[in-house]
Amino acid sequence: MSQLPNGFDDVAAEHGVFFYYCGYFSQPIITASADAIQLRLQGAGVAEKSKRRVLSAFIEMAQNIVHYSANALTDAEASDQEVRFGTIRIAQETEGIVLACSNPVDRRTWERLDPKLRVISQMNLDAIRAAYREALRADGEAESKGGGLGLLTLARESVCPIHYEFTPTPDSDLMVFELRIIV
Amino acid sequence: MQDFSLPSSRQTPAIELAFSAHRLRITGEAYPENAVAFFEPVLEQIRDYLALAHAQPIEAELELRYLNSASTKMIFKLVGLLDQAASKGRKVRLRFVVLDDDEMLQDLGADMRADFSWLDFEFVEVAG
Repeated sequence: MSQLPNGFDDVAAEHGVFFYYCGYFSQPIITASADAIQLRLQGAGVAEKSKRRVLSAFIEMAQNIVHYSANALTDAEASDQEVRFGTIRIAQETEGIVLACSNPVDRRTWERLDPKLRVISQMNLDAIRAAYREALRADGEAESKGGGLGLLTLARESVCPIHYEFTPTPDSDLMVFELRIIV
Repeated sequence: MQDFSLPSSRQTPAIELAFSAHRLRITGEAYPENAVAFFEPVLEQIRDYLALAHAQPIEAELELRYLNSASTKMIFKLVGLLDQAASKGRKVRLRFVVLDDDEMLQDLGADMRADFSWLDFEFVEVAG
């Protein structure tokens, strides 16, 4: 099979992309993808510590999509066996292994996530660890299917502050949520 | 109370609640889609067992690998139940086994040790 010049494969290779998935996420897809990523990391000789961080961040990101993406194949009120739409990209860049995810969110999720993320993105590692310890002990987060602990886990795995964005979509009242960390 | 056990799956740990022997053991990875739905029935059984207030010491062992954030929270809660029983006079020993290169679980162990002072806490690092 011949490749088109400047095609997707070339662009992906140029940007060091070793995992890219845009589509529906479910728990079985997450498990299989984690296997695929682990094999790639092993093949690339990535250190055990970084491997753990990449896999941990991938699973938090993917499960966030399964829980919160506004594009769901399953019932919006479901809390198990959900299937929802999003994108995850993992790439080896000069500053480290970059994990980026994106998915549409509704207004309510945006209103809940935006202030949390604003605070987390301005924290240093000590503050993140302190907030993590607090969230670990906090009793139940009614809104959350696991918690603010997920975002703090991502922040902890990242070597630099998390980068995030909410972009309005032109043809709906949904926002596109993007989050990027570097391991 | 009847013993309870659950084999591990790709995303859930093996659970052995040998209540008759006063031994509780959880081993493996945990990142189910809904950690509350998976762990809450386990916690419920442990609550019921602790309510029986036997005098025999409890031997608990956690040998965990990767935990997602929601499972981390549930495991912390579970150990909290054991600590509560210990604070009321039950002797509880917890063996917490982690890989020596797994920072997240080492930190979790340190957090448990800091919070749950009634437990006889044994922290064991094994080569990863």
